[in-house]
Amino acid sequence: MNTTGSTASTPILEVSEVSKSFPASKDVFGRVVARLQAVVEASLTINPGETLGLVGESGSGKSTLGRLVMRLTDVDAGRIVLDGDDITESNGPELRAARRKMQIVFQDPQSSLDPNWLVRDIIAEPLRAYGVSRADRLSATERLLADVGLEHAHGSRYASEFSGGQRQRVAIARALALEPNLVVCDEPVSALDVSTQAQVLSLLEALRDRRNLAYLFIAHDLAVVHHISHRIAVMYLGRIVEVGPADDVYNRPRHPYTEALLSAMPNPKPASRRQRILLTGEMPSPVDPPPGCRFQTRCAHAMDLCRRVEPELVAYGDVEVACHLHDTGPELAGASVTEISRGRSAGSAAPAS
Amino acid sequence: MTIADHDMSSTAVESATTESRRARFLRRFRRQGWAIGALVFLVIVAISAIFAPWVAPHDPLSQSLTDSFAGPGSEYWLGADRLGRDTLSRLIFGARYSLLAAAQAVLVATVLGVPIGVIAGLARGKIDAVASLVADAVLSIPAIVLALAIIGVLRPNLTNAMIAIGIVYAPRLFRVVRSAAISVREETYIDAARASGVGMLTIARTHVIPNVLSPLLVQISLALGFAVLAEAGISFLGLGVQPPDASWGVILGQGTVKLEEQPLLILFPGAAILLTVLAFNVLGDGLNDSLGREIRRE
Repeated sequence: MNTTGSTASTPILEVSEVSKSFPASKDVFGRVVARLQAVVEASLTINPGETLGLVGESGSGKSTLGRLVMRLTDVDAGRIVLDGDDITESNGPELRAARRKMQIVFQDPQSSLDPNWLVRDIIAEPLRAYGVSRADRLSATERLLADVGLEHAHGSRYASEFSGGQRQRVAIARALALEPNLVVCDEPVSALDVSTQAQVLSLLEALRDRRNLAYLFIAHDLAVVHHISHRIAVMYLGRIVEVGPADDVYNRPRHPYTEALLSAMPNPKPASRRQRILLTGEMPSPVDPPPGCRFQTRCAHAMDLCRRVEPELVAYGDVEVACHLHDTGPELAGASVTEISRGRSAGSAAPAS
Repeated sequence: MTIADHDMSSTAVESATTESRRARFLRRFRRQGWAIGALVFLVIVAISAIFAPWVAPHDPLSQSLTDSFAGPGSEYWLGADRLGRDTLSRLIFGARYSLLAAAQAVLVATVLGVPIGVIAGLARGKIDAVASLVADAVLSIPAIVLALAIIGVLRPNLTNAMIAIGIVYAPRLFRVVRSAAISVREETYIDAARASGVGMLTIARTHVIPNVLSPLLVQISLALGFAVLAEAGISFLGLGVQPPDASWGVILGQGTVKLEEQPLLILFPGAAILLTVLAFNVLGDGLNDSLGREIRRE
């Protein structure tokens, strides 16, 4: 499943240098004195039918990026291009037209479904918003219920009567109602138990393959993201630090943060256990990010340069990484960072600092 | 058209019966003995008010000086006043003024409070700040005092008085609706609707108002009780309904004039006001317990 998606001429989504900050605190006169930098100059490209996984700890800004893409939140800077149309500043009818092409599935299906509505009406809500006739809505709803593995009888129930997995199926059906090209999945399985996660994931995969959907798949679980994604982007403190083909990022992490994320995963095969890298300390506050590289406060390989200069995303083949280890110091130049981590633990010289 | 590799058992129709919102409300409301009693009482009062000419045993205005201050008996069930008018008939006709006046006030409060509350709760920011400020300012005005001021400027007229009561009560409904709207606004189904191209007005109508309805219904019941009391107060002071028409407040006020001769003249209108206000409050509590989130007790 981890082959690169079709590379059609126009990407379905192109996000370039998008930033967003929120007022974090105000003085007594209501003037903003500090801002929380949720997303900083993030860029993404998703091709039709492709799934881009977006991972990071909670607070890394990945959900905010999803909301920016959906235009649920306005960007401060940067551009969002959907299927060739710049929708960064779109409003009114223009934005409504764009919304047909992209939909979102939220993390918590408890809160994303109105408890006062019947499931049938929830699924038909987007259709109603676009003036689809009642008869057409009904037949479309039946089809959608079947597509997500629910039965006709489920339509005349309230969402509160369903399990978490079934609710998420309803949310997916609603997202598909307008036949979008892009679906932002904002942690769609994080609120579900493990057995249900697998079902919902395989449903998402099946729907993607059948409908040639592109996903922006946001999650904090790298195993989940690796399973479903063609490419993976790793976010830390509002910045994208590494992007590349899913297998590359998963097996040969270029950024020390990706490596740490991977090593924190529980491994079912102890024999093949990687060396664990424990991140020390908390993620710094996005209100007051550290100077230089945002990861330097927790990075085992941090050099002087890292404390002064913010690294840029640099492409090495298919992989892009924002880390000084690749252009100076050990000059990994796109090789996996595990090389030097292993070297360090064996007692050889630490990277020059 | 089903997906091959998902577990069908997870999506099998559950055995639990689907209970509609209405059925659940009725099931829970049925357990509220006092609230049902209050509702029955209010319905009886309302029906007798509507059909007063047929229900009342006497013409409320026909005088009979020989029956002045008659005590309760077979002719005058609740006695007669100084002019020999039947107290029961006067109370039945008086209910028309009292209930209609209360409804007027609550209508004004609802029309003002609910839309502004929904808008303020959804829009937040400056609109909310201004609306809340005005609401707090209005709330600080004593209802009766504003009513008296308006009557002083215009002329004694029950409708004007009740509009004043409605204006002063509107902030209470505003607050309830606003806070309900704020909590609904945080739900992601609002974001989901926005992402699906649903306009804010439609969102307010289809998602916010239905979620606001339960607390609003409770507040309206309480507001009716308050308005009945306010009307009685204004009419008692002689600034509401003008004789010979009489609301409960007027009857009570006239009863105080000859209190020493026939104390029963204040007992019955007083009891009518008290029971009606109490009934609206008990009903409001019962609605609150039946409409809110279900609390499971083992």
